[in-house]
Amino acid sequence: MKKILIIEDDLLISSLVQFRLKKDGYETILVKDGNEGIEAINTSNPDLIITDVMMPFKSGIEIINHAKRNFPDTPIIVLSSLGEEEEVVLEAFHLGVTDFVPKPFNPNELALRVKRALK
Amino acid sequence: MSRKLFHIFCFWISGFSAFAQSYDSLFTSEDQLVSELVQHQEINSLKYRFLFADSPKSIDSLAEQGVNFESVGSDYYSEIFSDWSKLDSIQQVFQGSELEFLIYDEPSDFQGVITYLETLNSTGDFVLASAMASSNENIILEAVSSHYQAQEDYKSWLSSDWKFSAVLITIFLFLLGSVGMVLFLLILKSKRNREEELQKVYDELVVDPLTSLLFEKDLAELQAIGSEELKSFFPNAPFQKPLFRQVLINRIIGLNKKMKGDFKDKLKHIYKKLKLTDDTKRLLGSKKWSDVTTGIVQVNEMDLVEFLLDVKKHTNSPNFQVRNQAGATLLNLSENVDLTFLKEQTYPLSEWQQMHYLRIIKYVQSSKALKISLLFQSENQSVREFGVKLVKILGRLDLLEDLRELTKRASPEEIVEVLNTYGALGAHMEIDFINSCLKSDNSEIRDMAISVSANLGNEESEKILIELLSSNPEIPLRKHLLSSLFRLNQQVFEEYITTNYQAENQAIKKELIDPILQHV
Repeated sequence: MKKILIIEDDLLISSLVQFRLKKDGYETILVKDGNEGIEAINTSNPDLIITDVMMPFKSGIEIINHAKRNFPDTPIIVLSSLGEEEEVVLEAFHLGVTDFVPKPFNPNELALRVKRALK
Repeated sequence: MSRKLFHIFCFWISGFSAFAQSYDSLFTSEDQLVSELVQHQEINSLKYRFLFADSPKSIDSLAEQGVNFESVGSDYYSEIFSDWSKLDSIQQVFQGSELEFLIYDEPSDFQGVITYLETLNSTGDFVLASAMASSNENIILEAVSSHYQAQEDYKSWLSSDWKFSAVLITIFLFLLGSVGMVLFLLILKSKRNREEELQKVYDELVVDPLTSLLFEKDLAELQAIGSEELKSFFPNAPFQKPLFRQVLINRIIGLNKKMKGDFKDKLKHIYKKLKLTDDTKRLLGSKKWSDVTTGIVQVNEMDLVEFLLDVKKHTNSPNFQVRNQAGATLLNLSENVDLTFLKEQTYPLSEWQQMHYLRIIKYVQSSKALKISLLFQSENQSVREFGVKLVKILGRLDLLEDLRELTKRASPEEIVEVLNTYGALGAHMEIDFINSCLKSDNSEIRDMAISVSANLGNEESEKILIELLSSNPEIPLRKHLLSSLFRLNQQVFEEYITTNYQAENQAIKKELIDPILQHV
């Protein structure tokens, strides 16, 4: 069973994503800020990371940086608002993220992108 | 010390007149004096001692009894006594001795003592025993015969000094206020903390039901579910509480902003089926502007078109946030919005408000029949100006006729905006109006007309521009005029520069034709 780490400070959004991915048979780990995210990357060695950009303590960019340095093969999907953080999202792409899902988003579309990233 | 000197002075002064006043003397004999003195205990600086010119045997026996003596030549003096009331008893012990008076420790005779006592008597420092008794009796009699009446009413230290009292009361009130405020803040803080904790709890309570409803039910299934059945997905007791419903509303609205596709429809359906609209209606009727604004935002986000009439009531609210949100919601949701609400707005439209409305109008203009021309009929100048800007930004050439009508009664600011619109839309047919504005006394209108005539001007415009130049204007205006003339007709420009060969004109020309400087 593939393991997916979801780093998102909005509890409802992360729960929705978790619910949707569990339906597809994935194991999910849920964390709510940047610090917990980095710790979870180190300890749980996920197959895929879904992360927000603007979060408490450490930003999504720092998480992507950390993941790419230590686990360069792990695909990362950024789930964020394009309009508000355009420069940050561009930076994320430069760092080598696999995909970007802008908010507002459709959980079904996200599930498809996860499936494609894990192929 | 000064008192002592005073007494000595008085004593010597009065000494000269003592004999002359002997008929008035207090005492006529030494016995009388002694009988008076023994009625007193101590008299200021008047003391006594005894002088022995007796056999040493008698002195020795007294010395054995503890009496001190001082030998002066062949005489013996006792120690000095000041208590006159003991004179008799001491005299009995010192039988055979001679009494000697001492004034300021100096021996004095009978007459000297009388004079000294008279002096003390005159200053009130010595009162005869008989007079003292009678005066004491008189005082007591006076006191008995007359009722006591206080000279002043009793006043406490607090009321006797009003300034001090005022300061004290102010400090007290300040302290009371401070303590009250701290208590109030503590209560408020604890209430807020409790509310935040509850919100976190409720947040977690709404996650699972909402998630399962969104993923396990499709829209048709949700429509088929009854209101009560839908409520049963949520914990019953908290659902009755306004705070829980507020958290649920916020979560639904938050999700609606972040999700796409049929999830939005599902969320709106859940919102209505759970009768959260009752909370929205209550907010719309609230007297607090923040509640009303929240209610309007809920209407806007959840597409609650059934509340548009309630929202419309707030479009002319004195509160900026309320009327701005109300206007935006009407523009967003109303099918037949015709901008009447904007026309009737009495408050000036701020730049920010205009930008907000413009963004919505740009988005909805293709799907809704917006009557922008209505805005020109508004009593509100800022609304009319906004209407003119809309014509320019939306490129509504069909409204140029309405703009022409507007210019007949427009304010200078509106005319500037109309000229700007003519320039942006390339309205050549309005050149007569532009030319008339070139002659305007209002510098803002004239400047805008000069700018617009650069693109839309005709021969008449060239003549007016040269006419304006001939009045030898200031350098900035001259440059503006020459720049317009240059862009309008280079040949006329060259002719003018050639015939008016001034250094300033040459410098302006140099800048206008320079590919780099012309943009500076």
